[in-house]
Amino acid sequence: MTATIKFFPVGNGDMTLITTNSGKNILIDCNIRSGKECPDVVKQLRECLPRDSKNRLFVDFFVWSHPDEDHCKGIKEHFHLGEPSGWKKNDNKIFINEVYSSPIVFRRAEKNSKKNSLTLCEDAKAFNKEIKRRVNLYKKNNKLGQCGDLVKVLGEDEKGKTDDIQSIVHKLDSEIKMTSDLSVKLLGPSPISELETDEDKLSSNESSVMMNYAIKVNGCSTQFFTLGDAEVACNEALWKRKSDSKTTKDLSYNVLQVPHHCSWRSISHDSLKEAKKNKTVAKVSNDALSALNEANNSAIIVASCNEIKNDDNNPPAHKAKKEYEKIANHVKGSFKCVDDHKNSKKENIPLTIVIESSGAKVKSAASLSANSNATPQKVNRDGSGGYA
Amino acid sequence: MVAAAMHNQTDIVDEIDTLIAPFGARKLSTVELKNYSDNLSGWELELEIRHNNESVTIDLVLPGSFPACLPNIFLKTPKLPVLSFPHLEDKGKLCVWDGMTCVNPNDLLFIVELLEHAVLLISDGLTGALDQDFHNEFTSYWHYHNKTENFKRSICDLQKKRTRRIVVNYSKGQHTFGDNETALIAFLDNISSRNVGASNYPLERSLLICLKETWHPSQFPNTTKELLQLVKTDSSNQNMDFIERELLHTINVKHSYPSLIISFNSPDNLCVIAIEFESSINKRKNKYNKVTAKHGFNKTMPIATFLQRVSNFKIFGRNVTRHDHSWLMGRDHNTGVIRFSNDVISIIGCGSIGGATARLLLQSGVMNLNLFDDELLGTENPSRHLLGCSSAGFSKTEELAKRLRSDFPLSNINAYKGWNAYDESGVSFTALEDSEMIVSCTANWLTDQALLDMQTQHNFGPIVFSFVEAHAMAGHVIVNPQNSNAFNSLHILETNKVGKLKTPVTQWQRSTIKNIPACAGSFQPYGVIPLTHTQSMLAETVLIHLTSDELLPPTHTVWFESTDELKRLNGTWSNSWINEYGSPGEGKCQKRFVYDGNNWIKQ
Repeated sequence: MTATIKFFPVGNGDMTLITTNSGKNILIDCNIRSGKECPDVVKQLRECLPRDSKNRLFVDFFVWSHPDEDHCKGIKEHFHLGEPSGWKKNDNKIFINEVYSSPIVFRRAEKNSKKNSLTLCEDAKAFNKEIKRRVNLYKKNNKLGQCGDLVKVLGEDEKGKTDDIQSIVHKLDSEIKMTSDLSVKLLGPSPISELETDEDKLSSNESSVMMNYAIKVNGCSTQFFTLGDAEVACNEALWKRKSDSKTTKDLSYNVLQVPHHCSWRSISHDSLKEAKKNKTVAKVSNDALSALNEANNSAIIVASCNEIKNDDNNPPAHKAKKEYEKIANHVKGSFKCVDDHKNSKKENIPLTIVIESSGAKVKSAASLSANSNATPQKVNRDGSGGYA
Repeated sequence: MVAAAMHNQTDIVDEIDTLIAPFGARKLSTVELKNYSDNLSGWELELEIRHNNESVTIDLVLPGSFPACLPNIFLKTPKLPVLSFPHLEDKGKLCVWDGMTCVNPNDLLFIVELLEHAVLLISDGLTGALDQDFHNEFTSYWHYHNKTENFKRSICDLQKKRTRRIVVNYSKGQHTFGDNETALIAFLDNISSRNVGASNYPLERSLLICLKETWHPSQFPNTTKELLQLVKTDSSNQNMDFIERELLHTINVKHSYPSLIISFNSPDNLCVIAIEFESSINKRKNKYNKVTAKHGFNKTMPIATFLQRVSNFKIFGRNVTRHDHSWLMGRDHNTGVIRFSNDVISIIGCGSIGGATARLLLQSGVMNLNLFDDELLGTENPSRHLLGCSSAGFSKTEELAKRLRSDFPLSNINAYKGWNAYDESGVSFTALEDSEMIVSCTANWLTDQALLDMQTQHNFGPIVFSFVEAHAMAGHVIVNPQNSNAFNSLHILETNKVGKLKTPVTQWQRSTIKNIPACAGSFQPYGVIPLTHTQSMLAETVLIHLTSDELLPPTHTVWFESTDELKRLNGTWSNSWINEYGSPGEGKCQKRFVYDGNNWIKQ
């Protein structure tokens, strides 16, 4: 009786698979890169997925946090987009039963791209088209579609844009029962009224879907809190809203996926570069950090990013890691970087958290027993031959 | 210092964190780290091993001075007491690698190997595969059976593997076992520097039992009955009648905790432990009401009755510090030292060469020394003498003997504050007569001539002369067997240069002697470093002669100090030496010559 959360090694990006105790699979984002230097996460993902009665590799839910490339790269090539009947055996693409997405986030991202004379990536456009297809199908039929046509809208859009699809809209702070053993609290994106800024000024990363999943095994619930690429303003707004309403317990977690690949800008308004240049200290935003500080005992904090080095890089930022380590330290928990998770052949493999009724544990990627009898490589146990 | 110089410790912790992340390591919280003193950081790892349905976890802990020392590994769960399996120490600490282990502190990958070896140790330990280590490293595990820090001492000769009666001195706070009264009292006198004799060291009978097989911790005895059973089942076929009879005498003393010792031929070495017994059968602690095991029997107590009475006496495991010759002189593995143990060496002149040589000889296994010197130690001496300022104003020989007896308590050292060369009835004459070799370190011409005269007249053993030239730039060791004329052949015997070397090694532009404002006061300035070569050359020469089965020819060994240093002091290698034997080149070398009765031939 176990559930798992798998964080795939996608560098500075997200691709997370929840497999419930009942066997349902929920994929949050994808970042499928090509190149020999990149781990073959497609293979790793496909090995985790079951096939349905039509022999299609099957994802029950795809939750899209926001339309940046590092959260949807490869979706067009590796997932079936379009009418279910269009799935082709020869293409053997992964079939998505239901999509969860936020129009607010998408619109903000689209605006932001235009403002910066950029365009959204092809994968984001294609996936948005697929979501629109599903929403329009619902509008047309005024009823939930069949397998492969299902869609849920995360958060009410402004100016009444989602008023006509209320049956498939989940409101902010509502609880969504996804499966018999998986429910989720929708905590973001925050409405513009809470962000103390003009929507036009929001960067794409300032709007991400924020979800706190409750994964049940044998009646015991494990909370998995994930915030996409939410930046400091989002996290501050989240903390303000939850603390004002005295519902900060909604932020408690056993597993946290730190926002934006361990970026310093998720927890601070101060630029690390500027601070270094001006020889000042970049300070953390207490409110933003408070939103991420509701860790339960033995919480596991995961950074889905490249190796975190003690350098000027951001993300991932070493200084942010140290803040998360403090949170972990306080609850006898642990901080994990997905990139550190390598098997005995030094290949990156998914960081897997196994959830049992007793709690969540990180599954080892390599065995200390396997090589115990190997000839020592780095140690001389016979001494130096010098004595004094 | 190593850590600070080579690494930033924060980076080290991060690097290890990354390195062991694949194994599911979780960094320990600051609260958890408080369980371990002096730490930099730590991680918990859950292993694939299970023990009694419980997961096995370990903590990897970096000491504060890492990487100047190796990380520590602790078995966290299951909580197992020491002796559950070998190499498991207090608080779950695992002895994975020994002190000889070398790793590259700049390549932290060794930590993975350390963890792998720890996993192997635990898995093998839990299945009993390492149990032989309980026997191989017996004393480490017996240490845990000793609930006190109380160590006893033994000078018994453990090379004699025969169960036997011994004696013990139960001084307050220190119990010492010896093979016989004489040896034990001499030892106690020497080590305490008291020289108070037998009356101050009451001795009791005790027992040394020599067994073949060490015990598994599960066998460690807690009662007399259990102990006797172990002795009986040992493959050494002990004479139990003798042991039981001696046990009666051992236990039947007024001392609170009478003791015996047991030696084992463990696979790696000899080892010895002690057993303490309750002596009071009614357990009353009042010393006036103490009742011994023999209570009620005026004379003879039947052994069977005694055994019945003491069979359930509690016994206590104790550790023993070995002070026997074989151990002190090389942990049972320096067999050469035993050869010198009966030889007597007399050293005349206990100055900078003689004093240090005495110590070197004792460290090499010589046990019997006669020391002669009539001088007091001055405050100017410690810069090149074995003794320090605390001995200033006292007799050199007596202070030296006191120090050496205390440091080598099995030795037999006689100190003579002076000697009368021709007094054949004097103690100093007898001492010289009984010596295998006489070492003269006086650099006093008349003393040396008198010694040569006595050697000729009284058939003394070889005399070894040692001295240094100015500034100790050259050192000499000359072995003069009886009637060899070796020493004098190297010296001018007449004219106004009597006593000088015919062929000195060094020559100087002006006198090197420094005067002091006293009648006949002068000294030769030199430091201790150049002397050490001459000291070791002298000690080595003595040992070569002691180990030889035949009388060796006369030899002359010379140490040449550095030519650069010689020049700095305004000296040169002498022309006569270069003409006769060749140039010593850059110096820092030793040359040896043998005398054929007419010429000195370079070896």
